[in-house]
Amino acid sequence: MNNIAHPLLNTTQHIHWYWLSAALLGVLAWLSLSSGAVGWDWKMPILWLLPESMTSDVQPLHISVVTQIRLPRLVLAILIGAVLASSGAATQALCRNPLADPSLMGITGGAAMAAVAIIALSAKVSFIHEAMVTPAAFIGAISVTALIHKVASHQGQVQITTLLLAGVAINAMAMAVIGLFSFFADDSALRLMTYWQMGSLGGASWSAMQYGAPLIIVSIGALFVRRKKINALMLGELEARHLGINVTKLKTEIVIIVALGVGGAVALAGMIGFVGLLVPHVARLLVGPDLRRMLPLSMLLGCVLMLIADWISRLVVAPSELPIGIVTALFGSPFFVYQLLKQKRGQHA
Amino acid sequence: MLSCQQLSIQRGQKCILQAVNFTLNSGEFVVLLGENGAGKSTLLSAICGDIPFSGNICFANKAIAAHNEQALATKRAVLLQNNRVNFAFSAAQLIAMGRYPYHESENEQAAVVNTLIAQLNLAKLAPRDITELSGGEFQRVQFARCLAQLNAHKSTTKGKLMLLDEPTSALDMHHQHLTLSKAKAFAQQGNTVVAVLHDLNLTSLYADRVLLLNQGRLCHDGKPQEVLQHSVLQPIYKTDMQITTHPNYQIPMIFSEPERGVTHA
Repeated sequence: MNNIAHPLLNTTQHIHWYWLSAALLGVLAWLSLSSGAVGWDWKMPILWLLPESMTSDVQPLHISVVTQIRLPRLVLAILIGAVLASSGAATQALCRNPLADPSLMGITGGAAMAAVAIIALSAKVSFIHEAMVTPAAFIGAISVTALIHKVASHQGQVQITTLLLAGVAINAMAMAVIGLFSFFADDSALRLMTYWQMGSLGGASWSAMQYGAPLIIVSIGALFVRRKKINALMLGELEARHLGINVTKLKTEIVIIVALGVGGAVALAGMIGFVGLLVPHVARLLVGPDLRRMLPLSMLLGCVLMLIADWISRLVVAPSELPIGIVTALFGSPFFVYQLLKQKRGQHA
Repeated sequence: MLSCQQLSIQRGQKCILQAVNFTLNSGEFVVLLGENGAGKSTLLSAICGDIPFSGNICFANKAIAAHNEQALATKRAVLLQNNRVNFAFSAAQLIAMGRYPYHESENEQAAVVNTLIAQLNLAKLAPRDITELSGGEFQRVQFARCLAQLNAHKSTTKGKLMLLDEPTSALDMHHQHLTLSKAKAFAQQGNTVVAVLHDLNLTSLYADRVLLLNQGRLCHDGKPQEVLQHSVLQPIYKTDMQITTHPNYQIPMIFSEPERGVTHA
């Protein structure tokens, strides 16, 4: 038989989508570095490349705004966008349903609940310190992921209705606990908690990132090396087992990967919902569900979405800013309803 | 090749399989028969190692659990019943998943997939989204995936085990024959195929050996001519039937009759 790759198996076929989204990401990154509260200057991202005659009008303050405020914020947006998208794709593979999402399933809520508890208690209990927020968010996320998967799976099948209902319950619980802590919290803790609940990139700084960023990078890397195995898991647990995959181990690994990613993201930027649902869906539409193609594109598109949402959140109420979680939820929730309708139609067809 | 000794499976209070013994040889196309709930699928699950059991199951002279999972995946493939996938892989991609246990280049993988697509007349289905296939079309693609997993595109492949749980349940007559002929040819190369079937005439046409399960016990094990007899089948299926001989092949053909009280014009 011929040795030419089947067009449907060819992984280089969709390469233009990567270039397109990478280019878009570049433009958005440029925009985000050159604009902000102190003004707009297109030169900012490439200042060090330009001859001195062109940079003489730039004030030192402006430069430090770029390196200390805009650049960490850009890096944070990219990390969060990539990890939320990849965690979404991982959760969907774990549950074998494209409707699964860390925020809908309560994983984000669990992480935020733990983070808020640490913030609130750190003001009152001496041995609890704010540096514990990141590990706490991870523990919150991993407990919820493991619990939810346990509750919703039966003989290797995951029931999406049970999964989403369990998510509703856990989210309600998270909101109640966050509400309880805010009731007793002082003013400064209260502001932090509100920020946690709605999600924001406003707290971006190099020093804050040192805790959460490693978690995010490990999560993305670990998912990436398992993409082929996870593809097989999407066929079904038994099918994957019959293909020689240790499914119990793989599922545990995915739970940890998702918890690392979501825990890290929540610790750095609070609860940002729907990115994990929206982005993998678009990536799947463009290049199909094969993670070897879909995962890199999801990450790129996740960054693009975060930068657009961040840009909107800074623009609409400038000079103040809207929490970014509000922006993503406004986009995401109608999309989720649309997906539900579509899946329902599919079942009746 | 594959042997089960004193295989028993208990689920709660219920005994699903009771002291089942058999040894299958390479080259055999074995059909598992039995009424609904007789334990056929459970027996396949036990052979796959998916459920706990008591007794021994040996494959290639080694307890099934003692095999390395990855190595076993190149020797044993399983087609399960009605499992739908929620992700829009193309049929070609699904077939290619069967190549997971092999470490090969994308071109080598594509060559295997292309060969199987040609052998099984799947060219029209190959580019289609599997979530949009009909039950029968999906079954054919899954069967192709199992063949890909066992290197079945090569006529020199030997010593493999293929387990098929109702592989023809959703297929039209043409594709029933296409699927079973391919499975039979694969067995004749020196492999073992175990298929759960409900169609007694297809069993008669294709099986080298029939295992008949009744309420968790293996009650008959023999050639189709020996097992497909009125005295054996009637008590199990509790259906009136007439058994004649196929005009061309001298094998039993079973004609069942409607329940009493139903008249036919």
